[in-house]
Amino acid sequence: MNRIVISVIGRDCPGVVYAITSALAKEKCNVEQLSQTILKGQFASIVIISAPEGVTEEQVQRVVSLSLEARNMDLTVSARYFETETFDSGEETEPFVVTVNGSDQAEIIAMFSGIFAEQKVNIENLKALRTNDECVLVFEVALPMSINRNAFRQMLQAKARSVGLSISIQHENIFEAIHRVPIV
Amino acid sequence: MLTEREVLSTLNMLRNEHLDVRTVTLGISLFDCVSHDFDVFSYKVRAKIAKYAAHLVETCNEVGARYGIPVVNKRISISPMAVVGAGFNRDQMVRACQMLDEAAKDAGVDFLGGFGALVEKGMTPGDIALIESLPEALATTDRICSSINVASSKAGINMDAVALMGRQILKVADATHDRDGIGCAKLVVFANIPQDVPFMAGAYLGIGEPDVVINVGVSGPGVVKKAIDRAKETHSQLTLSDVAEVIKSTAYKVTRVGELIGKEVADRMNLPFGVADLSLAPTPAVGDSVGEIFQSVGLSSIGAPGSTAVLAMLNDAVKKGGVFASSHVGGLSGAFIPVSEDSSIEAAANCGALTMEKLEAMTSVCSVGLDMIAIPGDTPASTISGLIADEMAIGMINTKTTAVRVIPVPGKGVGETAVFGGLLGKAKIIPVHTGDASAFINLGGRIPAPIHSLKN
Repeated sequence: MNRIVISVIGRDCPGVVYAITSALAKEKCNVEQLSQTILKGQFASIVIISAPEGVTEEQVQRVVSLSLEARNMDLTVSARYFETETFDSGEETEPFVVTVNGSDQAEIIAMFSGIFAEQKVNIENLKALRTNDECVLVFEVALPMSINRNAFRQMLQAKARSVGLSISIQHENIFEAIHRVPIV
Repeated sequence: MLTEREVLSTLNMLRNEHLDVRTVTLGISLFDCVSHDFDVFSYKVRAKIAKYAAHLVETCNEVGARYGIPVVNKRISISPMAVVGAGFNRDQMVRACQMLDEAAKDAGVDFLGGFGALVEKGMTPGDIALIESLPEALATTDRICSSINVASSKAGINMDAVALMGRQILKVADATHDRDGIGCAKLVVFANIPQDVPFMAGAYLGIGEPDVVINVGVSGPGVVKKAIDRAKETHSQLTLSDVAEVIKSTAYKVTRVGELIGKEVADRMNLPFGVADLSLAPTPAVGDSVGEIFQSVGLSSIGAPGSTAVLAMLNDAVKKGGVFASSHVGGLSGAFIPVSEDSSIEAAANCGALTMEKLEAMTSVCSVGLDMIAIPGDTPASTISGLIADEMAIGMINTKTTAVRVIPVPGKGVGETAVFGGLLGKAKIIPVHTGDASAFINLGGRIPAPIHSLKN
């Protein structure tokens, strides 16, 4: 068995997931993990499959694409071998939520993700929302224990202030504590 | 992965609705500091407070920053001084109070509570010395709070202590006459005082409590009010059942924050976590008011007919939401209605919509009592004692905590304003019933405990 990672992106409509998974089933490929989301009517999915020996990523990409085309679905498919080596700094981290909001500016995400990249802080989830003229970014990041919390906070606050945005940096537990009944 | 609603609603609670942890209170037992020699006692107390409180403020600030939720007040509560210093005379009690004030200032806390006595069944020489010391002790210190428990459902009401406290309250006011009698803002007379209250001015560390413990007081009237306002916008047919649910869910959220932060402070200081006190404690800031909640549920102001019913529902829903959110609930746990500390309640008292009699009625369903009420400076001691006796009776019969913190403002009368500043706020002086209670108060003795105290 070999693992392949597939991404599918394009206009959403009922039957997209069926078109993808039925094509994979015909090739005897098993879906190990799948995540999908929809943004303003656009579908995006990432699928990790285990495929029988001999089935290549080109084959998988072709059958999924054909299955979508046969149903007149306009989505782009790409597939590649799953690389088992993933990013792991080996350092212990803590989950923090950084929320930035203020007037919409083209470079906000680049600005803050640049700071995270520089500090080796991995972004594990990111959402950008726009309400009227206001933009809200919610970064869920893994903050390495070696980073000085106060200095990091001050750096982000100074950056936000310099471009007229407000920012909050909070441990993820606070959101869990407020909104979720503890799992026992 | 968090949802947008979870993140945004938390941020809203924090930025616009005054979500905070109102107080982290470090309880320190002073029983192991007892000595017949005042200097030895004083040395041991200073050393113990310094040892445990050295990092309190810093730790609270660190934990507050980690979660983005401020811990507004850091405080200390101690064993009742009248018990710990039972052998001291009046002058030594004054010195003890001043020594504690210095210890509080060194630790960087805004208040230290526990300069008090438990006299519901009778007074020891130490209790009398402490009560006699109150005018000078509270006038010469800034951060010390005193609570005197004069009644309980088990013991009844000690009317001798009630009479004495009526006189002492006037003397404390007189000793701080240049500051509108602010000494009385730091002195509360209680029935059924809980042993683990983190809120001032009633905080003290009871006799059955651990050596050192962290208790936390959560608040959040602003969060509750905004949640009700949002529910009104989103429900086409909002009923009081819905409102009670909103209050309950909000109290749950607020308490979870307090519990999380309190436990982490306790862990970092390597101390046990005691209780979360789930109370709606207002501050003079607009949007951080219990009184505004009454307007949100449709009353013209607190004090209007219906107010007692609203307060009963509010108090109960806060407890129901909070109790599930916390592993150990204690203290007062309910809604506070301190007049000068709440801009909306103060405004209602100011325009006559809220009277002393309505306040008294409301205290039968809220968690404290007649709180931070400015009364005329020439109110007779027997009238103050009468007010205390009424309030104690409500507590005794209903097996609940009640308290009286009134400030007879020296040289000022009805309609004039007393200004205390900071969290204590300001208040217009409201009238007190002029009926004479002196002959009743002079009878002294004890009002026996009610029949339902005999539960064994």
